[in-house]
Amino acid sequence: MSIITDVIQSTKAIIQGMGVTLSYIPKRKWTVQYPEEPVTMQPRYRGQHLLHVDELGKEKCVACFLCAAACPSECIYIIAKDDPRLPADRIGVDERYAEVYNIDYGRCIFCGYCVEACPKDAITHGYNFELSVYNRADLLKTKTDLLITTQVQSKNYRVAFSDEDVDSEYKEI
Amino acid sequence: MFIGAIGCEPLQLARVHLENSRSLDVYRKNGGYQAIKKVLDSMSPDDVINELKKSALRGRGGAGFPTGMKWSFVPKDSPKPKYVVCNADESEPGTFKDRYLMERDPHMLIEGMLIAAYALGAKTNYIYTRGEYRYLIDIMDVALEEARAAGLLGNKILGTEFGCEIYTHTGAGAYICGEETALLSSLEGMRGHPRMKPPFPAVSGLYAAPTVVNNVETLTAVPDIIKMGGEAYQKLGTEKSGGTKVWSVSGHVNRPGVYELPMGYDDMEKFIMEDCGGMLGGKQLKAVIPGGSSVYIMRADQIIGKDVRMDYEGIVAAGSSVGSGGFIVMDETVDVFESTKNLTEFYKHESCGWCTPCREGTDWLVKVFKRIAAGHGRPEDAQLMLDLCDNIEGKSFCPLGDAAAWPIQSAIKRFPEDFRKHLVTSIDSGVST
Amino acid sequence: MSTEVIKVNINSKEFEVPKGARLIDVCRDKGFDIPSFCYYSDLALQASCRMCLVRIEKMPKLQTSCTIICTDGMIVTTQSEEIEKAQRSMLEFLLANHPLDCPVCDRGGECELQEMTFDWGGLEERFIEKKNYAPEKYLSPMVANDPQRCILCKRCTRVCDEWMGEDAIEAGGRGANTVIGTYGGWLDCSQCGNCIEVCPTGTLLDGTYRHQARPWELAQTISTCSYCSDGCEMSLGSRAGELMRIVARDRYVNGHNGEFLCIKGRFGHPFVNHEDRLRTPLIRYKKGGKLIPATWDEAIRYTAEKLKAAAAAYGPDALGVVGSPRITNEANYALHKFATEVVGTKNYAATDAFSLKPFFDNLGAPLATHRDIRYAKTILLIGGEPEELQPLTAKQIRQAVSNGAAKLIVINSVPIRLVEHAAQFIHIRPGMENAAVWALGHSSNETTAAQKMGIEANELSALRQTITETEGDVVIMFGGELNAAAQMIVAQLANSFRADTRRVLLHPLPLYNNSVGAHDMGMMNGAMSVAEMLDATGSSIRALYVAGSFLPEHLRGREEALAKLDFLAVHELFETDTTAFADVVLPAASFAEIDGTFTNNDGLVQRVRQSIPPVHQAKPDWMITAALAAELGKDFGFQMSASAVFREIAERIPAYSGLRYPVLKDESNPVQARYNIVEPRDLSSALNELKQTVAALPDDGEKSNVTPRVGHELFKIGTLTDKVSQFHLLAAGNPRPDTVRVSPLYQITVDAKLERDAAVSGD
Repeated sequence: MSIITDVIQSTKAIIQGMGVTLSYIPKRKWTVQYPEEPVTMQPRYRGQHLLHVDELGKEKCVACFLCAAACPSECIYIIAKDDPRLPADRIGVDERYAEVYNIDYGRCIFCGYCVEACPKDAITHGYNFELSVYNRADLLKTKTDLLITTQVQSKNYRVAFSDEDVDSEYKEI
Repeated sequence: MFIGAIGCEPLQLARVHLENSRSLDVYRKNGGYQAIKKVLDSMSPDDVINELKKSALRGRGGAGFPTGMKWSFVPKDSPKPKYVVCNADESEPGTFKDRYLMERDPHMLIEGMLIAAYALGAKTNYIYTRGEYRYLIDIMDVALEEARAAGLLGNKILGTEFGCEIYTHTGAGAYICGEETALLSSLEGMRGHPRMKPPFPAVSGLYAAPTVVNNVETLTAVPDIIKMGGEAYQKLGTEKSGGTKVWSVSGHVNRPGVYELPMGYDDMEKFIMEDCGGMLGGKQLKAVIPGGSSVYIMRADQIIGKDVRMDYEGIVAAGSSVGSGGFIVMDETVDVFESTKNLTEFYKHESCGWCTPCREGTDWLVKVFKRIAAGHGRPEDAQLMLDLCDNIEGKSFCPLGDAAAWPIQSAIKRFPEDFRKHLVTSIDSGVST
Repeated sequence: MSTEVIKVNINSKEFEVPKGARLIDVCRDKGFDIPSFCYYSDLALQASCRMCLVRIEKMPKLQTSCTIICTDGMIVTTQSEEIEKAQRSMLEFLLANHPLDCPVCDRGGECELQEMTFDWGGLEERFIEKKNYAPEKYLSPMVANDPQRCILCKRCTRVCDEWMGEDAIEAGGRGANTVIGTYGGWLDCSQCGNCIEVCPTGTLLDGTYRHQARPWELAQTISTCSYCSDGCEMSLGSRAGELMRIVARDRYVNGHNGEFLCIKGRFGHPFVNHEDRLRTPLIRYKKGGKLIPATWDEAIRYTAEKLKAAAAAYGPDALGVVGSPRITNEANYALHKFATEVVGTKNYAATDAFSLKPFFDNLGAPLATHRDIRYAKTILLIGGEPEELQPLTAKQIRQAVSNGAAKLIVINSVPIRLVEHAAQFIHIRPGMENAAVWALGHSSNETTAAQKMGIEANELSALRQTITETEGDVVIMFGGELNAAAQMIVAQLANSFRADTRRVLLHPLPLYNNSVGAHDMGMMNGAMSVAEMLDATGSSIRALYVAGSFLPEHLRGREEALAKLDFLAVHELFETDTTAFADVVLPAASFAEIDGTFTNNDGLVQRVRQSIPPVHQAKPDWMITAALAAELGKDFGFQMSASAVFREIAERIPAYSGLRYPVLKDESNPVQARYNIVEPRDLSSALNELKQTVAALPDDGEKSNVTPRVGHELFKIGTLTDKVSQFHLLAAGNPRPDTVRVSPLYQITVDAKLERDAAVSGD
């Protein structure tokens, strides 16, 4: 094999490759300019958990421990407390509430069993997904981090509408 | 208001029309305290019980258990004291015969109890009256005092060796205390809860001693049985139910009242249409509850032209039962749904709360009735009520559960149109649950 | 129950069952599941839940199997469409008005109604109506009540009546409005909490554990109670190193006490994780100085040094070693070994209120177990007050009388509450218990003794007659009032009353959880008693090594005794009157943090198991003693293992021979220590001694006619119960707060100055 054929074949391969590359330039781009642009999330996406409150602002969680019991990775830790005050003064909807509600995201596998187990619809998966931290201890999220009234929502996501097609990029390939 | 006998000589009601019928004098002048004299003079306790058995007298409280048999269950050799308790806790809706018997002829009851006490060897006897009959207690106390003064109570009655005492006691107005074991609990000073049977009261009743509990009418029948003899008494009625029966007639008839009829009086239709003066205002007969609220309700066409004999067997054959003889007549204006609702509320209120089916079942049924009455009936509610009744019936601790279930079961089956009306209306009007 | 066997046909299978057996028990025994709520063995029948319905041939309706006694040839069906419909409908009825608030309910997860619903509940609820409402309330500081959840099985009212004899709760109202309530709206009783225990739903709940944790989160450890000498088996529920609650539920533990516990056993545990627990060893380097935290090594070294110095200066007998009837057999054994083998002193003792040594040395009959008491035919109680000091014994006596028709004879100077169950009450003058024993010792003494005791002579002969007419077991119990000679006579009484048809059993009533064990370990064999040691401080006793603290009654009148010591080392949980004088305080581990054994008043050797790791730097008592021994040059060879200590106990103490921890594993089958039953002794010298004691007693004592109020001993505040805030309310007379909404502790101000009662038998 001479050096000339070598050069010709290499050039042909480069042109062929560049052709593919160049052909994509006019096409629609799937790349999301994260974090400049928000990521689109499936409605059923399982992100960081949210603890909900009712319409009066009372915590829905009654600290029944069913989420902790259902959790396969044992990442939920609760300390229940008695709230003997009148309903209007209470923190939660009932006379028991979670004084401490911790989820260890170093262990959580985002399986959603806790959400299914909850009899009060008090815990759901939210959409916050940026959970990386510099210190491993910071993976332990406390009630303040989880409560819907206090959890800081990331600006870097938007939730897809139910009829929105966010899966096509995978289908095309 | 009519009080009297039809189709026979008055026995129970023989003296009710006399002036001062409550007094000892009037009672004595009209054959009173003859029977106890005869018993004390010439009869042994076993003779009395045999006479009772011959008379085919059946308990008039509602269950219709042969009285002679009941008395013979009391163990003779028991070292414990024995008690005769008169059940005057007449609380069955539609029943008011005992009230007239006690109000107008208290000495007849005392004499009946004395004979029972003699036959059973009881030294202490109680008349247990419902709380609402307070004034009857006063009448009874006066009569007992008269009898005591005349040597008919206390030691050495009528100069013989036989002696016993009768005391009155009031309940606080609980229907359940008409059930004999609950009555005994109440009499002992405890909550009026029924007790487990067996042991039956005849073996272990009041203070765990042998006890006979009899209805007022049963005990007042005893003096006449002794006087005329068991067989003669039985011949007044039928073979299996002897003597006469006092009926409390109320409702839409021209002449409500207390009627004494011989057992086996033929034709209920004739009784309503002729003896009771016919239907009020000439309206059509719709339904009859023949034996107090806790029996099956009867349709008019089960009575008219059917020659219903008025005794235990006859009415059972016609589809209901004698019960306590509270004869309630209803005309065409009555909504059986409403009347059944009323009865169910009564049973809910009176359920003692001991056992699950009766306590929760009656509560549930009332809630369903109320919901339907408020216009939220669903077509499946009739089936639900029947199923609830089925779950109560035969599973409750005492017969109150059955008593609550039967009126509803029979009302839904025999008057489905009255129920359908309520259930369908609500669907038409678009009211959903 | 007789031994006669009858045949019963259940679900087309023939079974042989003993005559008189109850159908529900037979069916369950043979593996046919029968649901029930109100049936509870050994309580009066109720037959109200109607869950246990079965079909019996020739009977018209379905029958409740809990009320049926099996008869020969009975044909029973327990499973059929009809029965299942009936059972499912009963459960539907029960759930109709039952609120579905399981996530909040403390019973959720161990609720019988929940379990039954899994098996018999419908998929859909047909009850769409509004549920009846009744407000939640507190019945007492201990008992929370949610009437809506009640299914009216009335186990609580029956337990209150039959077990406790108190009748403090009863149903009120009628029909669907029936609720369980108290007389006057505030529960006035001994607060045993057994109503909570037997409740199958969340109607009656532990007010102190309210909304704290869920049962499946708790690690359950079976252990033995650390209060009185009855030695109830219980289950410690702990979570994350904290003791959350104590229960005796059948599903967790099955000891000789069944589901019974008293207020102390059930509620008296907050001391375990209390913030006042000693955290580190403390050393007082200078008399009158402060206690300064130290390391274990330093504390052990310092103690060993001081003990060695005292022994060198005054001889080994100047050192006293004091054990405790509250600590384990292992700890007492280690102390005994330390005293005899390391220090070589003859002065050692345990801080018990009275010694049982004369009793055990002359034991003439076996000890009665609590089961024996329940089925005894005659029970003789001399002195003592079991309903306050040994509640399980009192419960067994009550059941023996009311459910077993036993005859109870009470000899006491006070009409204690048990008197109302007694067939005979011999009301003697105060302090005359010894005279009663003297009279029992020989019938010729009766007249003199009766005169002395202020009773009729025929009362004693009637007692004698009752015992000699008994067929079955006679149990003789005695309290702490007896002196040594009287104890000896009681121990030998069996010889005069025994017969072919009659067994005589003995039952001492010591005060503490391990009084018997402390005796068995030899801690009562020392030359001096605790009181004598305290009197000798500063003279013949120069240094004391104490496990636990002295009882208030020991220190009363001897307030200066401890100050006269050269050196005092104490193991304790808390700072006490004893540690106030201590030179070294070593933090000991409580019963919940250690392995070991207690021996109860039946002689049952029962396991104490570790539920949580020792708090702070606490260590088990025997380990501290072993460390001290090692520092003094003697290796006990226990190798950090309680089972090794117990093996040595079993090897050296004859009554415990052959026992090992695995043998004691099953709490439902407890093992009794084999005490030596001695040959009949000559009692004449003891009788003579007692005669002189009795003659010296003043015979003008006033008999008390006042029945002591409930809880006068039980609610006494001691070192441990002091840590339960509710106890202060009870000790203050259990006042009823004006508005009882929820937790009364938030509503009642507990007087901070409540005087601490000088408890003889506190705790």
